[in-house]
Amino acid sequence: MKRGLTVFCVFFVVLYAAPSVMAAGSLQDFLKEVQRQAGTERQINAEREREFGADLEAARDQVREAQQRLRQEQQRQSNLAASFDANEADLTKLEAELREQQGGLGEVFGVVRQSAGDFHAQLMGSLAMADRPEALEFLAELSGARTLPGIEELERLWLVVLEDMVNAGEVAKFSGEVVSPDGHKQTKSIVRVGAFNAVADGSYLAHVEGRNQFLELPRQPAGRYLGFARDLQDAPAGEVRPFALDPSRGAILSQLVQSPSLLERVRQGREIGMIILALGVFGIGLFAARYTYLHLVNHRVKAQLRSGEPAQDNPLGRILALYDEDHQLAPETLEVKLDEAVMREIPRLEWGLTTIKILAAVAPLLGLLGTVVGMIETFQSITLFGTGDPQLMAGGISQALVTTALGLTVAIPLLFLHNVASAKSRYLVNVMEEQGAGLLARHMEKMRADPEHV
Amino acid sequence: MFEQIYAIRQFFDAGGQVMWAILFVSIALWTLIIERYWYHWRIYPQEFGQLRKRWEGRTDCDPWQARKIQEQEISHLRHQLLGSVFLIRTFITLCPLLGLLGTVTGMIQVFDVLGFHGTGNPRAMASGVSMATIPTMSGLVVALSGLYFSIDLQRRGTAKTRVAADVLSQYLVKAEKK
Repeated sequence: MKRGLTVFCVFFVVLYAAPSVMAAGSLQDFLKEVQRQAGTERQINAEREREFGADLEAARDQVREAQQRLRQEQQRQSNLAASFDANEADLTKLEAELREQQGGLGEVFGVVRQSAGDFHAQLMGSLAMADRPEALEFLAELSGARTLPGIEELERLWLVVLEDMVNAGEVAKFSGEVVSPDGHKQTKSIVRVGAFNAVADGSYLAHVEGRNQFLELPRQPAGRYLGFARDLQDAPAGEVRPFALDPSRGAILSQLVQSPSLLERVRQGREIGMIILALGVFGIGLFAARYTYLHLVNHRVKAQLRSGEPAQDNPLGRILALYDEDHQLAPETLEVKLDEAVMREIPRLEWGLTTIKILAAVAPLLGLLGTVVGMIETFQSITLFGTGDPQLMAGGISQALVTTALGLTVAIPLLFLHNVASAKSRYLVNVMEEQGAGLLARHMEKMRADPEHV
Repeated sequence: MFEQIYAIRQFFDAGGQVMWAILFVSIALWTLIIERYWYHWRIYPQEFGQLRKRWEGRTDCDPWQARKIQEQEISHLRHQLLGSVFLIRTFITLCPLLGLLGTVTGMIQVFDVLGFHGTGNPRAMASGVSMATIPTMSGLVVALSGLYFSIDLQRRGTAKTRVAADVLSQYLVKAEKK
């Protein structure tokens, strides 16, 4: 149908276009030309129809072929489906047979796989396995395996677990990679104490779980424990040595790294902590100044007690000099003058001691103030975030406690130093107040007995 | 012997750094107390005897001067008797304060653990708690152990001074009667 339409269109165009093209030519020529062209057209069309006829034949052949193939495949499919069903039936039968024959063993393999997984997770962090990575690999494989484990693998599983138990009770020396706090890697000789701690070169190590690597703890325990560690490392095999063990397998040691240093601790006290420390420094400075002065005076007073001649550079000398000024004084007048002189000397000896005492009293009060401020902060954080996070509260509370601790650390030495200084000043005042009169009396006696001095 | 030392060491470790300060104060305290009792028992009778001997035979002086000289000697004696009682009392006041300091540092430790582990680990907190309680206990024990002796020494000191003043003034009265 489509082909016919195309032919018609060609005619139509030629018929209507010819008069304009061939306007000057004769109509006879034009007719002949049209007839000739129509002839050739007819010929071409016939040819094309033949061709189309041939194509149709070929297409029909192809369809026939395809249909045959389809039939073949359908046949094959049904065959395969039949064999699949047969296989399925076989499989069910075999599985049932297997289940029957396995009996309790199926559960055993499940348990093996599960416990291999558990042991792998457990032994990953175990120090006792740190020098045996191949055992860990074996456990990982066994826990992930899809096939049923063989007898050897089962045996190896319990041997590995047993080995871990035995190793956990041994002190072993092996070489491994140690990462120092500055990121330096170095192979060192490591001593492992059971499954608990590892030391190298007298410093405690942290085990990196999963990787066969050790970290040197950036903050180490007290020096005497490090001494134990070094001692253990140098000890010959079979000898018993004391050693500081972290029974939590490194948790306590890692907490040690977390705990802040003294300076960080002091900074937690914030402004109030700084004020307390400043008062403490001021108090100690004041004590140093006062004590040096009192010590000097004490020294001079002692020299005065030894020598008879009154000197003007010490309070006792100035009191003794009262008699030398006027020998004719009545005892009553002398006593009044003596009291006056003592009264004049006392403030100079006691100056500043009350300040030290006040500082010693103020420091714990400031600590208390810091505690209260810290508690207010803690309760504010509770209001905001609730009590759900104890760590949030703990930060505020430890900050509050630091100020109390600072207050006490300043107050205790200041109290002691105040007592030391005031004992000294009290002694000096006592010498003047109670012994001054007596010394004066002795002085007078000596002067009278020795008339050429008068 | 080693075990005892280890036990003491463990006690001190559980108590923390403050324990060393308390130990130092308690040693100083007890040295002073023992020294005082030794003085009362041995040295003071000798000194007092010498003083009595000196005043027994003394008749040749002005009464005012003699009284003043006697007062001076008694004051010296009082200073000798009560001198370090003052320091002993200071140490006794310091001990509970040190214990309190230990409590505060222990509490800081406890809250550190709280911050690190949360409330789930009471065993880790226990070390901080023992750090808080042991110094308080030790401070109180040291202070209480010294308290009786400090009061006793004070009482003995004042009593002996009074007796000495009485005895010496009697000599003076005798001398004046002559």
